[in-house]
Amino acid sequence: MKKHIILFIGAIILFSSCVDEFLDRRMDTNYTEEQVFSSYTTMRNFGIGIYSNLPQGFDRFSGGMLAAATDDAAHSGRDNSIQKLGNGNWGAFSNPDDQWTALYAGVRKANLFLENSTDYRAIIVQDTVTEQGKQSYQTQSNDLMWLRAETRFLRAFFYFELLKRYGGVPIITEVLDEGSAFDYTRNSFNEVVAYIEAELELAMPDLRSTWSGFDGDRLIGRATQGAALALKSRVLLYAASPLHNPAHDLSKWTRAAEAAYEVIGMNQYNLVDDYRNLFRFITNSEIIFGRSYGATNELERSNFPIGFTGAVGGANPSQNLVDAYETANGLPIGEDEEYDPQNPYANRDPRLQMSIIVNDSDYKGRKVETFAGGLDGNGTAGATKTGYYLKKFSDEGLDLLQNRTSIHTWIYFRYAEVLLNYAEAMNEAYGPDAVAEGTPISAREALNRVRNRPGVSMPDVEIASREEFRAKIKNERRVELAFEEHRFWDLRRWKDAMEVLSKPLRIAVIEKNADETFTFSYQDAEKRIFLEQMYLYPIPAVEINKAGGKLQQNPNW
Amino acid sequence: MILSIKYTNKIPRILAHLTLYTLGIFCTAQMVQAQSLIPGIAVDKATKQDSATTDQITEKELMNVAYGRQTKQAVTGAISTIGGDAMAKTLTPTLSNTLFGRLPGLTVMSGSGEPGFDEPSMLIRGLGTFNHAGFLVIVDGFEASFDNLSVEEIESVSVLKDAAALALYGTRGANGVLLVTTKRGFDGKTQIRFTARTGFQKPTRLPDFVNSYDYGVLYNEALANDGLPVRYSPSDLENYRSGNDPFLFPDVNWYNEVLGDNAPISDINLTFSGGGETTRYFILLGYMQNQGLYANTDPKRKENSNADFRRVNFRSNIDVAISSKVTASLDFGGRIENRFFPNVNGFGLWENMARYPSNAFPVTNPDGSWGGTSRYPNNPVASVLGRGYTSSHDRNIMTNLRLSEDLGDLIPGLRFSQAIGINNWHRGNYNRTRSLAFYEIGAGDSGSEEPYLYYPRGLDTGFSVQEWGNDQWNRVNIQAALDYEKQLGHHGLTGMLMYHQDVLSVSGNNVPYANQSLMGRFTYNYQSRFFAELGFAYSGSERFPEGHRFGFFPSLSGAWIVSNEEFLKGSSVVNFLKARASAGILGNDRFGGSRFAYTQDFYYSGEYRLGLDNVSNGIINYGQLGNSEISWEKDLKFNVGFEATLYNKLAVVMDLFYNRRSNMPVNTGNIFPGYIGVLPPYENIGKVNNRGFELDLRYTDHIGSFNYFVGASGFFAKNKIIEMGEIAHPESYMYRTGHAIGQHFGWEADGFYSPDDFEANGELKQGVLVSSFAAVKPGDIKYIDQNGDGRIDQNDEIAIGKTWLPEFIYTFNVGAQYKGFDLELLFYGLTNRSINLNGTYFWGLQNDANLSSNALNRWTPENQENATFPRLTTLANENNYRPSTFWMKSGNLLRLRNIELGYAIPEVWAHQIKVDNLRVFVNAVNLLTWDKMDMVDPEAYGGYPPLKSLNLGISVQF
Repeated sequence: MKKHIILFIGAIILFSSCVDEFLDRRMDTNYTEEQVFSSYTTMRNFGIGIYSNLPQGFDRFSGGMLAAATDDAAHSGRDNSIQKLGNGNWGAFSNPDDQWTALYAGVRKANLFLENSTDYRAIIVQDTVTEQGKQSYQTQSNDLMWLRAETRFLRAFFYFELLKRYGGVPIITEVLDEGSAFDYTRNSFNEVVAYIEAELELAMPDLRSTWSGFDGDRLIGRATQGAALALKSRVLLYAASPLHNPAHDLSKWTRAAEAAYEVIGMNQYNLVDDYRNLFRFITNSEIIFGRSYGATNELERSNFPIGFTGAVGGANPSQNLVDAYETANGLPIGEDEEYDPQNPYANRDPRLQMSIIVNDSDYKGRKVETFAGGLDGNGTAGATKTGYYLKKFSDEGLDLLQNRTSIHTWIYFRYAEVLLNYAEAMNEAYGPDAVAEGTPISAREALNRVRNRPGVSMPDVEIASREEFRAKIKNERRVELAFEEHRFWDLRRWKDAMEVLSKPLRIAVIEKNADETFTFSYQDAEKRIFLEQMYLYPIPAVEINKAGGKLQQNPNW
Repeated sequence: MILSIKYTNKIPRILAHLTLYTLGIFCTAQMVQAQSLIPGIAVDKATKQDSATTDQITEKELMNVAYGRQTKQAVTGAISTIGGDAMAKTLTPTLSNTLFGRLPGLTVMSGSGEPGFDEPSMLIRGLGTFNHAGFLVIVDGFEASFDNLSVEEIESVSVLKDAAALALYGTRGANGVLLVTTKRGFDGKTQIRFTARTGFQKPTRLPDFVNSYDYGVLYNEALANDGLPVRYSPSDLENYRSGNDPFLFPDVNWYNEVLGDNAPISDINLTFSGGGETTRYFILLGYMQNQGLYANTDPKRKENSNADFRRVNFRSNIDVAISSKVTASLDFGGRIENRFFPNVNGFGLWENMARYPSNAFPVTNPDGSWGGTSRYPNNPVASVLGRGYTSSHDRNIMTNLRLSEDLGDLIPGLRFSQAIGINNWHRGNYNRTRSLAFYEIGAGDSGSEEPYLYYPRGLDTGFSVQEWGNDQWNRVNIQAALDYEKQLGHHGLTGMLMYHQDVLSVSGNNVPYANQSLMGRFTYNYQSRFFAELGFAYSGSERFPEGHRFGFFPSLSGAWIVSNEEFLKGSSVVNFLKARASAGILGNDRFGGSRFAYTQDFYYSGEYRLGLDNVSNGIINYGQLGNSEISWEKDLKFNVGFEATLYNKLAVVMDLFYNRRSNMPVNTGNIFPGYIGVLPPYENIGKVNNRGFELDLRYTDHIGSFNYFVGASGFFAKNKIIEMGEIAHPESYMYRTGHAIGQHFGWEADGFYSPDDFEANGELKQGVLVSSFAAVKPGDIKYIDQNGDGRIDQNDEIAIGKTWLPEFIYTFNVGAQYKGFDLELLFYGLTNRSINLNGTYFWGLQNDANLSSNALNRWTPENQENATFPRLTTLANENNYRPSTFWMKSGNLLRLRNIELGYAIPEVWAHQIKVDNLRVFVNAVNLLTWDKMDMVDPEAYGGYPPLKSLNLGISVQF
């Protein structure tokens, strides 16, 4: 019996000596920070992961698109969050497009990567005696050098995305943790612009000019010098625009034009033939920077006319947008006598029917019926509210009955935008036709290049005055870049939003006549609200409250 | 408590049995005695039913306590117990459902009634934490689920409530413990017992939606309110009204189409128990079957299946005296569970039944194909009947082996015991499913032969079979204990020291859960008048960082048996009186978030696509920041209570408790600014106080041979958040801190906007409150501007109503027994409870949903005064559809939870048919409910509803 007691005492001793081992159960499938930054592969995969923090595109509002919060579109559903952004029911407490924490999450990842990979050469140091070893070391250290520069670019992009939404924001370049001092205040708009410019300057030398033809084209989609310059062009354009340049400082426009020309001058990008299918594959030469998604059919489900199997309804282009497409003669519809409001889609800018599905047009093997009582018209839940469906991004051939999927690429920067940035800045700086040193082509030429793009071939703009030319550029931007998340911001930076976005959205009501013709009438439909303070988003109320006075809210929020 | 009915051999055995049956709530006369792990056969052979007086029963009667048993007198903690017999009055596949109102201090709230998935949610002494509030369930000494045991194998279920009762559970004890004990054999003639129960279940309530004509009219009204063109023409509406064309103008009540009248349930058990000096046994074989409410399903389960739950239980509990010094017991319990469900089932299916308008599409088209549309693609009938089934097949084996050695030769009163418990569960899945072709019907072209056109909206894929089976877990417990007992004159001493470890390994890429403890209990009593107890646990959990894993959790308690004092001895008024008090610290190692909150994990998650070929690149991400100091919640528990028996008739138990939870891990996302760019770590800063009482009364008496009892109990618990790391609010009334956990917050409704509030152009008049949630119209809900800033916004949100969880639960229990007849009723009530109505059932037309009948009395220009629903709208309306006093309803209810009427045939007849006794009975569950909710069950809505049932049963003992 003594044996038992000895056993028991033994067990207790054993217990106290091995308690911590018994409870040591931590997951070994996960990494610690040190482990991630101790090998090339994990470092690289963390670095690539920063790309995933890029803002989403397409129908990112649970099926809704940002365009549905502008005068370009309505959303067919009845309670999509994007509708709040258009009808004024948003603010510091709830903002459907609040990206504050999401973008700072990207900033943090970038900071962490840059901080921990400073000595990347020492970390990945390995056998450099054998030829193979040398080569692999070279490949890996180059890759991390590029990736570090790309990370700078991405961080600058995140700050631009914050900037256009909230105005000046705190610039954070270190990794914060619970022990950090949280006394950041907002930097000014111009400070953030200067920071982005400086960061892009730093990144440029270590960025690749292209990923095409490298490593079997497997890395196309990573940032390039062109992407950095295009970002700079857009940032400086925004900074020169009336919203952020109330003093009309012309030198800001000059700098914006020069930045845009840096991209044009690369002679690396061009306008491609197939405007309709720009958004499918990332490998076309108009794309400066984009994001490929894995194959899905969400976009097609949202945008196929409701009468097609699998369609659920999504963004509906407005009559306002349809009216913005010029006639084939290069005139606004109101100024062209040949325009017939009862046959509205004939002889129009070809981009109209490349981007928008109109009534009685051929789509997926039948005529689309957006007339009242038609297969795709008012009467079923999810049907178009405006008389139109969006064609731009969809893969028309997709069979949703079979649940087929397709690849889509969201484009952050493409060449046409840079040309339009250039035209706008040149027009403001020098007028439609003047050129200057460093900006050797005129605003008119840049604009006409876009209008003359292959497959579109709209007539040249011949208007002379700067103001009329400005209107032409604005309209061209709206049409060319429709649904690409430009107009929402353009209207704000131009300070046009107050006028444009408080008007009701217009729709087409189409009746089918007995003789198979159609009668069109145009109505005001959705009420829209835009208030002065909405030029900038409010910083989320919770952040203002948490900051205890250190973060200043935007005016009137 | 005391078994107050004289329970001697003089009373016919059958009557004794029945008395136990009806009165068995507090008393579970244990027939064997043991401390800690000692197998059931062990020491005491004296407590058989030959005690002469109730006092003696009290002395000898044993209660289950943490890792052992104590005499009722010696127990210093707050424990409530129910016997398996009382639980058998609720026929249910899931045993938690038998506990409604049965254990003071245990809150049971019903959830889904879906067969095989009908576990209620349970709490012990209310909510003491805003983190994980689940508690430990211990079956025969080891952590295990008891829900799927057969009711016939349950000896008793106890709820351990205070620090004294819970001390040994250390880091896992703060939320209370449910202690389940299975039946064992005894020294005596073999008893063979057969019970069979069968019945029918129905939903307690189903929501009510408008028909298609009303839907059309009201939808048009809503569109008109929105300033939109109407959708249904007068001829459409006429067609809905007349029902002439049920295909183009259908009127479908999906509940009627999908559901049958009732769902059968039955439970059959056969048990053998008995034994002798050296060997005792309890053996059970049980079968339970419960079907769902779905109609027209294939009984052979080839094409489809009703919701269907079948379970086989078996158990063999064997106790053996190996020698005079060594005893052993081997418990072997297991079950096989088979669950079948329609491929589309559960919440999604029920949501579709509620959401799809009655005019959306016909169930089947004229050509026999299934109806459906792109917008409403999941025809609920087709979902149940056409898309195959899913099934899961579970096996569970619990094996407990215990050994106990009497070391009295070495040191008198010393025992050493060891136990190992292995609990193993496996689930295999077999699904036979398919996608279904369905067609949207449209009117044929005018002049064409075909009256209808069919647009294909889904694809028939044919059946595909999915089979997989690596879903399993295995739990291994090891215990070793020393027990010591000593009586020195008036001084009684006991001591227990135990080592316990527990490893739960779950299939998949999961790290095992592990707990390890050294615990002990030391008691002292003086003349069986004063009792003192020290309990402690030094216990650790794998969730914390090295060096911070173990904590010490002590508790101190005492009891004074006043009735053992000279001045009360022999009193005919006070038969028994005990006062007790306890204080101690317990822990809770569970909370949300990352399992290893002490460290930040980096892991592969997500992808980024690159390259010509759209190649997926795996990317590394990270989780929440770690807190290297993270620790468990601490609960400082105080309890005082007394137990009394007066006039041998009235039994009273009363407890008062006060718990202070502190050191609670709180997600600090509300504290750190968002620009930190990562989820900040958990920190141990939360505090919650929880206080309340339990009162339990039972009066037992007889008038001649008419025996009866009347019982009542009340249980109150109210908590208060002291610190939760709450975000800074601009107004003081917005703080959750200071309120109960789960306090409803919302806006204070103040009638409707009236047409007088608006200018002719539709703009609000100057001075009328502006809503920042939506552009309001007449008939929208008006709110009170709490901060007086002239607009209604987030800063006007206040605490409204109570919590979902009732603060006060009460029961009334009456029973009677006369000449073989017995009757028992249990009423069960919840009060101080609020429900905030929301979602598909109450917010009509939102997101293209159906409209329920609660909207009929909507606001219209003609019905402004008495409206109980705002103006209809087809659009999202953030002003109306948000939590407010408008949608707040009282969640109070009173239920006739159980009623049972039984008849036991006289002993003489029984012997003629060679049985010891035979009883037949009928009972009902949830037969009647009184409450303020008219459309849905006040305890649970959304998904498969709670059920009521009517059952028949028989029990025969040989």
